[in-house]
Amino acid sequence: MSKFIRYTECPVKINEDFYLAKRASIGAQASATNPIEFGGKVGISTGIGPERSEFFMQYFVTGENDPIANLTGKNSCSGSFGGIEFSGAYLTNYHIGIKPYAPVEMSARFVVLSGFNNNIQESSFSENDYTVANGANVELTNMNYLNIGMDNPVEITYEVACERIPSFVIGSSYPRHVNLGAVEKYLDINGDDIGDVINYQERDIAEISIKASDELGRSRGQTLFCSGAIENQRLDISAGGTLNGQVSIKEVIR
Amino acid sequence: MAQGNINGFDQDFYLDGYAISGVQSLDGGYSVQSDQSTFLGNKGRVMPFQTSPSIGQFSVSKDMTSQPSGITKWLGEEGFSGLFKYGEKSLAFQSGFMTEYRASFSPDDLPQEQFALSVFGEMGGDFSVGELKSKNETKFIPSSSGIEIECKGRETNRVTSFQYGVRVIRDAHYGIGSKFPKQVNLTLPYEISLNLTIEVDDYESENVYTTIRDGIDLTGINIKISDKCDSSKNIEYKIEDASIVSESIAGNYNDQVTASLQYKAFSMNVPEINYNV
Repeated sequence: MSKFIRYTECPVKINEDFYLAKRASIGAQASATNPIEFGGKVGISTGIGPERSEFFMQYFVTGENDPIANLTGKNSCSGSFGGIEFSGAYLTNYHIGIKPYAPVEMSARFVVLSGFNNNIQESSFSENDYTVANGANVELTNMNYLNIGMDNPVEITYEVACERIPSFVIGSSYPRHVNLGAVEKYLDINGDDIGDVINYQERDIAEISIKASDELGRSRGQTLFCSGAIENQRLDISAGGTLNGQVSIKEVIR
Repeated sequence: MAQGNINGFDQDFYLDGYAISGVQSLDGGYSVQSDQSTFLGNKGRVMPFQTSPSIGQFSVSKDMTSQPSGITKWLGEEGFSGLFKYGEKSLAFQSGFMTEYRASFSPDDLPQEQFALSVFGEMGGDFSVGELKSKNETKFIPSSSGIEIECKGRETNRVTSFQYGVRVIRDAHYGIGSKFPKQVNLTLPYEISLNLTIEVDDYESENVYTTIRDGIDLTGINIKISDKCDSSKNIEYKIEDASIVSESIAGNYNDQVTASLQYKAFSMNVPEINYNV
């Protein structure tokens, strides 16, 4: 018998920690091809490569540290989505969005290389005392006119992209090991004009730090750091609006 | 112990430190934009989160009994402080911006002014906005016989009432890590409107398809309002490039035929209101 499961009965968990998630998705994609058989018959074959599964969630951090921010290295993690369990998950993208007066929102994307166990099962947890970071309570260091050409950032996105390289052996559906490839940080900042620095491609910047807090000044998530070089700059405006500057900074970790 | 009601004698409204005369009614307050926190799998407590800045609003209605330039000067870029004093308490704001001004006139009534303010920044009862003063204002009480209007149809048809209005959009820009706006922009153009009601002698409506055949007809409108006792004291409203946006004619078996006309104009400059008082 099928039934509809409410959002309050579909928790998400990473490494035994429940997260205050607004949205989550999980999926698996098989490699497929259309072999043409003798006589012109066209079939479909899905067994030609390993399955690629992905788990995504959008969430808020309620503690001083966000454990997911520590998964940008070689370690894998386990988790569950509404009762479906997985292990051998590797963080591929960690993203933070900050806007004035809006709650600071995180998202994480994982590649799952070990398949799934169990079925959907209703469950829940109970979190009663929590606060989240707000864009009005974010402390910025070195995010000023001298360093990046703007004093008043109005939107910041911070992203860490981690390349994962699985190594498969013949006869096994799962990789024997997973190597960590390139790790890159991206910091995109929108704000007032950047007129004086728009000519400076590849300009190195002083390290920027971003510390998000709740309304009582308590840290919510780790302080974020980014140095590197200005990779991209843009100015745009439309009728009825104000001139908006955009600066993209890239830092290569490995 | 309750102190009793606070009647009109114990209420005052100040803008930029000066008392405003003729205030009939006002309404001020603010709203907090929040979202409830609902999360996947969580059956715990639902907490609200603030999701955008709180914005205050004030709307004020007053009789035009003194020269009103003190009000309409706030249609420009500048912000101002304000305070509504009631008894020993007050509701004050640090940074208000005028978003709408209206003046309406009809025979046998004192002309009315209404204006609306948006408040960005602190607002409440426990802070000071500086010294409060009263201005020595020149009395100005217009009479209906002292109203002159130059516009289409006015030559042979009698204007029985009109309402002049200006609207302007204010955009507050908040930076990350800041509780107060970094800048409040006036987003041009100003929208100027004029609603007229006229008693018809020979007024004739335009055809609906005239505008698409001949283009939108732009006209200039001048309105002069003179003081009841001294006609040399007057206020002049000038609207350039106004176009008619609605026109309706009403008949009644025991009353006169009337026409209601609505004009609109848009301007990149502060609307022209001349005070010769």
